[in-house]
Amino acid sequence: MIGIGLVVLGIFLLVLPVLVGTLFERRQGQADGLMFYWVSGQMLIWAGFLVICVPMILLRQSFSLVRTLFHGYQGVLLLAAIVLGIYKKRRRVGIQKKEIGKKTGMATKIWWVVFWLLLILQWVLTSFLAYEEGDDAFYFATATITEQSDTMYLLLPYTGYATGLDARHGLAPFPVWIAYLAKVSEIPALVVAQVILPLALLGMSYGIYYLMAKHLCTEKEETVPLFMVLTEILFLFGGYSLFTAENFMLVRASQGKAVIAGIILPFLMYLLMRLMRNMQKQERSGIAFWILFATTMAAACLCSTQGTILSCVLIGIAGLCVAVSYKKIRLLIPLVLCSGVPVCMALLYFVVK
Amino acid sequence: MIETFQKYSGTGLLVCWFLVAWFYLFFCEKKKENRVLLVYMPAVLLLLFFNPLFYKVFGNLTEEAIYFRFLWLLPITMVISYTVIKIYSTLKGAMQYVFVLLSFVLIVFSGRLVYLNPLFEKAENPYHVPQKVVEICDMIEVEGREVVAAFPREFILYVRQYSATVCMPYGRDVFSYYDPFYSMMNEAVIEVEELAELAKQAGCHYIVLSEEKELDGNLEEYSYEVFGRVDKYVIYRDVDIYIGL
Repeated sequence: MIGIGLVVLGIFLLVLPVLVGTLFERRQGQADGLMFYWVSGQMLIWAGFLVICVPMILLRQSFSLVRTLFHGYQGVLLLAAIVLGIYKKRRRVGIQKKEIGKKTGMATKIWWVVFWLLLILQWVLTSFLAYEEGDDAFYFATATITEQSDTMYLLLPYTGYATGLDARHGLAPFPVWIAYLAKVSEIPALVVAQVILPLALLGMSYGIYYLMAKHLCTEKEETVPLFMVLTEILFLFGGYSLFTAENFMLVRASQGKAVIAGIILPFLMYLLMRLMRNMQKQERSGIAFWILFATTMAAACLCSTQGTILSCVLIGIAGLCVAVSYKKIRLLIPLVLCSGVPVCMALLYFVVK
Repeated sequence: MIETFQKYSGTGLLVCWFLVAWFYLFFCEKKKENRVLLVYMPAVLLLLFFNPLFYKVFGNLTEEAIYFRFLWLLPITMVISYTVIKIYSTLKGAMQYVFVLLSFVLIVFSGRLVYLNPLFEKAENPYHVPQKVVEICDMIEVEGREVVAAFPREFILYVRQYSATVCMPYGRDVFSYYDPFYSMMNEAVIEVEELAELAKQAGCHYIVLSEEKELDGNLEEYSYEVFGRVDKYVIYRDVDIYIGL
């Protein structure tokens, strides 16, 4: 039974996001790679979950209704990705052939082996070491309650007694998404949160750094895996303070705030890199890029109420720096538009607080 | 602000390396796109972070205790890694590997391995909660309904993560206020009469106590019978309350 559950989780955490992510494939036959599709697809899935789940929480609807609607949403995305994939099939095959032909140097291979060994070590330690984390008592208890009681934010996670709607936490329903994964896989929410999800999220976090490395390290081939090894070592030795993003990612990966620190914010930075690369080449970023930007901002709201503010501050500061550096103040318009969901969520937060 | 920054920096060495790397990029990075994200953006961010007005606004919007999360926007990992790569690319032959090795050593000695945190321990099961919690909850759960159980301090964090049907009269937030029931559960010598009264007021079906606790009185005199034992913990059940068993 656990085996089937793991396969289901593999589909929902890996296969589905990759397929959905192909919706963001660039035009002119440029390949973005599986990692980009995986992260982009997950952002679109998270953004949709937020948009479906939050109104249902505020309307005190059941978790099963959210599941039904979310199944439908993912189904539509999958269908769209398949139709688009068939349409672009020929072009993609051509690119794959080109990449297979590349030769990899010995130094590159060695650094990749080191990277994978360190990653496997982190996966093993994450799976077999338990951490006494106080906030788990809130977030994972919420996921367990949602999975077992079919209610959302109507029971106190600490005691189990009924309460009024906890709308404040309900605006960032990441634990409900964990409960969703638990329900579809029939693996307890706590096992999903403590063992399985950290593996995927940690992989995704490094995947984003890999995307950045491809942008930053262009001089020598081996610098990409070397950048990744350095990143891993900085993560592993990020325990110099309890508050670092690296510490959060390794210690409490399944909490929404860790996802903000380790996935959402780095991915927004990667998108800004990509935006500037396009501007450098005097290429238009295209509607798909801006949709991805907006969905990533929305995904930030799913993870944590503070993610709403952090993502807006990041876009505010970085957007201003980009606009001034490239003397394109007009750039601020799409960036402001992309912040629409976080701004709405922030306003909602003050209404329900 | 300064205190928050100090807390975030911990030992401070890695943040120092970040600042050194930032200065290197400030002078040596030529690509505009990298300068914007790795040089200008962190500078503006730090100026904002140490700005009292911003601190006040941000503090009002959220909680002051989480002001440190603003520093998550600093691309520390990216700046350090990229600087190492940039210097590595300018070197040739064995010097490249000597430099990389030196960088690794500096990071390792400046940081602290996350897994050395004493709060990490070998997981006893896939739930990452103490096995005793799993066994006690499995024992006291009743199909189709919730039960209320008072647990000792060491289990409070875990019970509700494992089971949604085992409720508790107090939860993790009890550490921040006075609760007479919780306080009584943690007394060195427990007054049984008072404990039973508090448990009945809270509608507790079960009380879980360590065998090592000294009891002043007999719980069975107050309608609590021994329901089971898990390791050194005794589970008492209130036989006056019908729970469908």
